[in-house]
Amino acid sequence: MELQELVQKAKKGDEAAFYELMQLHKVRLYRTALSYLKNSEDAVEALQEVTYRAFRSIRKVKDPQYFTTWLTRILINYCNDELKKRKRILVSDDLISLMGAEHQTSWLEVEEVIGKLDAKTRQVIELKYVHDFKIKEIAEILECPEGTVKTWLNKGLKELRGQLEDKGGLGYA
Amino acid sequence: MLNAEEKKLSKAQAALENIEVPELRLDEAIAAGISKGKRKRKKNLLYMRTFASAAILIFAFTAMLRTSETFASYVTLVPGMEKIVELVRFDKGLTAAVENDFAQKIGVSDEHDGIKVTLDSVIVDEQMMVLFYKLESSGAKKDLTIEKFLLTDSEGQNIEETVFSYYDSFDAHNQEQMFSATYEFYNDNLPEDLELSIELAEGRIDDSEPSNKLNHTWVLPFSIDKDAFKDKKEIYEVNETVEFEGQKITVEKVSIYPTRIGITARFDKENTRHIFGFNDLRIVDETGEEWAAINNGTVASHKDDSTKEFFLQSNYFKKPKELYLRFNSLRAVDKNEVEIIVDPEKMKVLKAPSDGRLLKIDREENLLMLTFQRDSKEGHTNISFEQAVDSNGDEIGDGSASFRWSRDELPVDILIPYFGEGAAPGPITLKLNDYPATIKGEANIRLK
Repeated sequence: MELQELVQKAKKGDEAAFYELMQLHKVRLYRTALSYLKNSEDAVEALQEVTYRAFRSIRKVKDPQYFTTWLTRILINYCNDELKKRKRILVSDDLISLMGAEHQTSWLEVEEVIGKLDAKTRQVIELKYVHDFKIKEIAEILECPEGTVKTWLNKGLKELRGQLEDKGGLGYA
Repeated sequence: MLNAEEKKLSKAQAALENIEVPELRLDEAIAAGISKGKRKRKKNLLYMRTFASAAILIFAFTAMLRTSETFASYVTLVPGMEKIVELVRFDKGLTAAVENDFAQKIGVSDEHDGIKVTLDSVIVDEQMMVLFYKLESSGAKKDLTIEKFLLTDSEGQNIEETVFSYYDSFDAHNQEQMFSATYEFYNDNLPEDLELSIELAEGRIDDSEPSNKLNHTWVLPFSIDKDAFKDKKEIYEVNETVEFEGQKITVEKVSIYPTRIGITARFDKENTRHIFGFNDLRIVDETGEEWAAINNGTVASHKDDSTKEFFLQSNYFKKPKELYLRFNSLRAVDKNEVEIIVDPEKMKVLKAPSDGRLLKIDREENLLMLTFQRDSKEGHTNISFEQAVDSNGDEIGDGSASFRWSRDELPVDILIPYFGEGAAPGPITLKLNDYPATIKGEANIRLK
């Protein structure tokens, strides 16, 4: 069944359609939550809470084509609130341990450099390159114009380039 | 073609994608999220606070009554009071109070963050005070929920009261909304100078839950005119006894105030059943017009074990020639069925009334949930109990109970704090304060 059709049904209270929608999105939501909360336990908890919030307010989704970004926005709001609550720097040990050895270094490298970006820029960079959202989708998730997303992206990439060059790690040789 | 930095970033993506997904746990999380959502959706969530010291019985109706046309015929237009009439029209006595110019205009406001709170007016007598307040949002549209609502004297000292407040959340699309809250007093030394403090939280659109408490307190100092209600009451000493299915009920006294009528009834100590209250207690005048129980507020307070005062909508402003007190149905259970005993660890019901209305118990977050079957989807729930007591006889939690029900289903959920409250392990006891089993008979007592 088409995603849009499922959303229409779920909006009318079709629980099976809603469950199907969550099934289609669970892996992506889980991974996004992992990158924010850094451990599996909290990411599973986040999925539960997002399911609950989405279930309660699915009727508010105006256009079915925005469902994915709407769901992602709920997740990101939840994660940001959770991070605010904890008010401490999260260690990535748990997250890293979930990755294969060959990926750990590249993840840590990226985490190190994007960690130096300001929160908003970092969010946009992560959504684009780590979570693979299109610019249009990021604009929907963050509820801002596409032009703004592009500005942040360019700014972020420029800063990253600067950082990588400083480290001599660009590998142009 | 990707730039070098983009390539680096996409490696992070690969790293994340490489992580194994705990499918089963994700499915459980989805199921749990849906189940939590189902419990809360479609239901009218209503909170009431009960205090162990003042055993009271509260009826709370859903917003249904607000839109009901049943009482519309009693409403006449009072200029400038339309919104207040809208809020009180489910209560004939309060409506008559407004029509008879008994409401006191206050008009005090406080504004922070573009949100203006105004105490518009109050209806007050020595029994209770109903406050009518407005929320206006001039700036950015905000969904608001009331976090705290406190009435004190002008020094900020708490007033001994029982409060029942009904608040909806403020809808951002409605620029100005009027609400009411009710305070009841069990002594008549209410000061003239008072202060109302309100705290608000901002709800977010995505999750429809209040999340962000606003930093300000809206403070509204105001004064009431006590002379306006001085000596405004009529007391009838009755002392008549009737018998329903072998149970003796004595009506001792009827007190008519502008805001409500109090009926003091005593239940004989020799009765085999414990009587909770009346189903159809009413005052009738010579024309056959009836004044029934208060729909939305306190319906009874316990004076002692066998004496209770029940409240009806007031006919104070009607001045009838003849007056009768009538009732045909009472709520009562056998005296050995007054306690519900459950084991929250094993989620087992050990003792409950034999009619089987207690369907199940369950845990919801840190609350213990008891689900009861109602007789009808409409009307009062008529189920409540006193503060839960653990196996050591210590009270559990803060005495609060949340009621949740839907207009589409018969079951009603009652949630009480339990988990994380430090109760002694083992069964807990809930003493019934109200229960919908009935006994029938006929009573017609002339008052005037």
